[in-house]
Amino acid sequence: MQSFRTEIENPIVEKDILELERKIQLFKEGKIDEERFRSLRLARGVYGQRQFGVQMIRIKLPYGKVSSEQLHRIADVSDEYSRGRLHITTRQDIQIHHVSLDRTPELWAQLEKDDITLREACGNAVRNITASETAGIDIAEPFDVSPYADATFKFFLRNPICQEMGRKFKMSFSGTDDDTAISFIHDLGFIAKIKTTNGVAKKGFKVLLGGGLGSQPRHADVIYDFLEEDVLIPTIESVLRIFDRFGERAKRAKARLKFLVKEIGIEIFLALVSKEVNALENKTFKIETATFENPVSFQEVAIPVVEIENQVAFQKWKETNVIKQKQEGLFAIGIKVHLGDFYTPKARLLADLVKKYAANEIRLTLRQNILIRHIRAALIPFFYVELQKLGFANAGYNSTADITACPGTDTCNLGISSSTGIAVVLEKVLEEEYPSYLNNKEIAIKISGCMNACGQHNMAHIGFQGMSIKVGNLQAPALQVLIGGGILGDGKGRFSDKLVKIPSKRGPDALRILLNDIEGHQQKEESFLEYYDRQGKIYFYDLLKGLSDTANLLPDDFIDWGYSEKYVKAIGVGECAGVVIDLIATLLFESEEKITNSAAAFEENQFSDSIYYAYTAIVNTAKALLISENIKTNTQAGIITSFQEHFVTSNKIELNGSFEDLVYQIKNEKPTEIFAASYLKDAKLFYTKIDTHRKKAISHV
Amino acid sequence: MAIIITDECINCGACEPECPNTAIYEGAEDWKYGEGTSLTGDIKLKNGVVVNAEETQEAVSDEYYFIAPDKCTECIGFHEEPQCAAVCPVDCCVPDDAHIETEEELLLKQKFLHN
Repeated sequence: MQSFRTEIENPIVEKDILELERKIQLFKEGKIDEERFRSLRLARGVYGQRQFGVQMIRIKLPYGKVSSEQLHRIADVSDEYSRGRLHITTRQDIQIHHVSLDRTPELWAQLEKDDITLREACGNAVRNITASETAGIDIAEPFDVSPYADATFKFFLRNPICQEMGRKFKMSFSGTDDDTAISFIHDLGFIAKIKTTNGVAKKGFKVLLGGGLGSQPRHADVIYDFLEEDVLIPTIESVLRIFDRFGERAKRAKARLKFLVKEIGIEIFLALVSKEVNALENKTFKIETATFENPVSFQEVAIPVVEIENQVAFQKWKETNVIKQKQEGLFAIGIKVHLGDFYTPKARLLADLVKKYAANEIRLTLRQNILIRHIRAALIPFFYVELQKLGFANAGYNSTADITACPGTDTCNLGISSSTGIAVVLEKVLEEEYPSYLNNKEIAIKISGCMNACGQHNMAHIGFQGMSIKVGNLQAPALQVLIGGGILGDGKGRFSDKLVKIPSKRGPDALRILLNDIEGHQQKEESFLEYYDRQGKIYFYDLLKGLSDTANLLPDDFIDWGYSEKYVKAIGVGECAGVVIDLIATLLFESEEKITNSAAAFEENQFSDSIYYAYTAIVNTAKALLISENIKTNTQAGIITSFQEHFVTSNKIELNGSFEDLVYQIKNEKPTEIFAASYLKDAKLFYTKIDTHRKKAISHV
Repeated sequence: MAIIITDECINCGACEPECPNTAIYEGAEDWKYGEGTSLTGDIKLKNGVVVNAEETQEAVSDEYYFIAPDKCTECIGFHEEPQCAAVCPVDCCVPDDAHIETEEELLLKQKFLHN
């Protein structure tokens, strides 16, 4: 059965996959706690879905970069373990659905053959690193951000400092001030910048911190106007250490970084970050860019002669879907992927096409599309013809008619009403009634099935969010209409205003009313957002208010888009974060595991890693004892203070010095071998002390 | 009347920042009369009870977001309709039959909270 064991070359990856397999087994035998198992599988990309008993798998694709071989591999895996559909997410991942839990280790092992990981695709970890899809080819970019996104991905993957944070952590890299990676909604967002001092040009980034969407969006703060490239990784590491220590863990809804920053303020947060520098192994970290700077190479092929029948359609497609690259004579082609869904037969043909005639690389985009890079000018007509055969040559890439939508009630547990269903209908309205919007690259329409905003609806010019509405004893699917969001550039952005809640079936009318109003009143030189601001929120509320009346609903209003049965509200609980485990025995057992990990890292001379594991062991052990006395343990920093207060100051536990001094050696000492050894010893001693204390306490009961 | 959050709440938190009176709190969270209002020191509630505005009050619900009825004005004095109900994705912010008040009473309450 486990034939994959010998096939994986990387021992760390192999160990990871075998561990997943072992834990699945233990879970099935009822030997590990369900919540604990959930947080483990989430950190390996295995997610629940709306349909019971099967899993959604999120394949982590850093900055959306995929080679022909990788696309083939993903297609094979989807056919074998899923249902042949590939879904591109707004964070440049691919999701496949209906996978059996038992087969996930095998699936993962298959993907690793082409260097694709599932590790930390979900869960309270550093999620996929996203980047502008035009990174490396953009005429306006100061430099290619791809190597930086790549290095960030590699540095933090499996890094002990970010394995069990209070909540997920998202980072993005924008190549230009257009900020297409949307830095203002990320925990950390980076925008490429060049700074010249004394005639020397240096690469670096404008850095934004603490942004996020969801039900309570927050605009990130600019923390550096210019951060030099060599301190990028150390800065991220310090931020993650502080987030791990001070981040909320008990209240899931308040656990994202944005809430911590809001609570303590950006100055205090940055002061904490600056004090972490002592604990870092790398004060600076040079990022290798050479492999990304190789000249583009092509297979030697004859350029096929093609005949294009409809020149008008071809020209229109060229206008909207073909982008001139910074490399002379090369172009990128955007494929508008409807709802981000495509299927394996076409994926394979595309992979072959890209390998033979382009440079063997595609990028998945934040708007759930595909961008093929490095097309020679003479090959553009050929690509048009070939892509047409695949149904991949629809005009309007990144236009208003290119609607973003999360999967919503199709497969997601959290979906409230259909997002994809309404997206299909709205695209049809645009194509049939407002065809000029195929050329409009200003206004973006985005849809999410719930308030968590995976479809990014609350930063779009026009957004819709899935809801339900009560009408007497009945429930109808509904949409909240939002207007006025968007990327302003250089790290600035706007969230949209929530205007009105309407039955879902009136979504198309809402769009018609809006577009008709714009066409009638927007002035020529006025942008959409300027027009919105001029008229104001109330003006648009009044325009749409009529649609919210539920006194006159028809039977059809109770059936959601894309369904034939009556709407039933069914919302599950999110599981992207592992739930907190408060069993004292489990916590102490985990501390033992952490001490083992610390010792293993020490043996391999990874002192910084060893120290961090020892730190988490000490904090975790203290937590166990606090919980046994019903004391709150919301953050690591809180645990450290409370433990001192309740156990050390009161002499219940005797230490040589204070508990704070013991734990915070981690930030005061440099990560040397000597310190790592003594800190590990401290962790072991502390664990033994607490374990003895606990056993004594139990025997007295 | 005040608005109440029913047990259909999915704990999304969309309502919390919308409340002009800071009357909405996450389940199990302690709350104060003085938060988001101009109340300070000892205050006399409608039922005659005297409380301190800075004193911590016990959560109304441990499981779901809740509204402190004495701080809810149904958005009277601020908005055309209750904002929590307008943004609730599952329509579970509904009039509270146990706290029925007239528009005048609500307006007085709004003045009491923000003098």
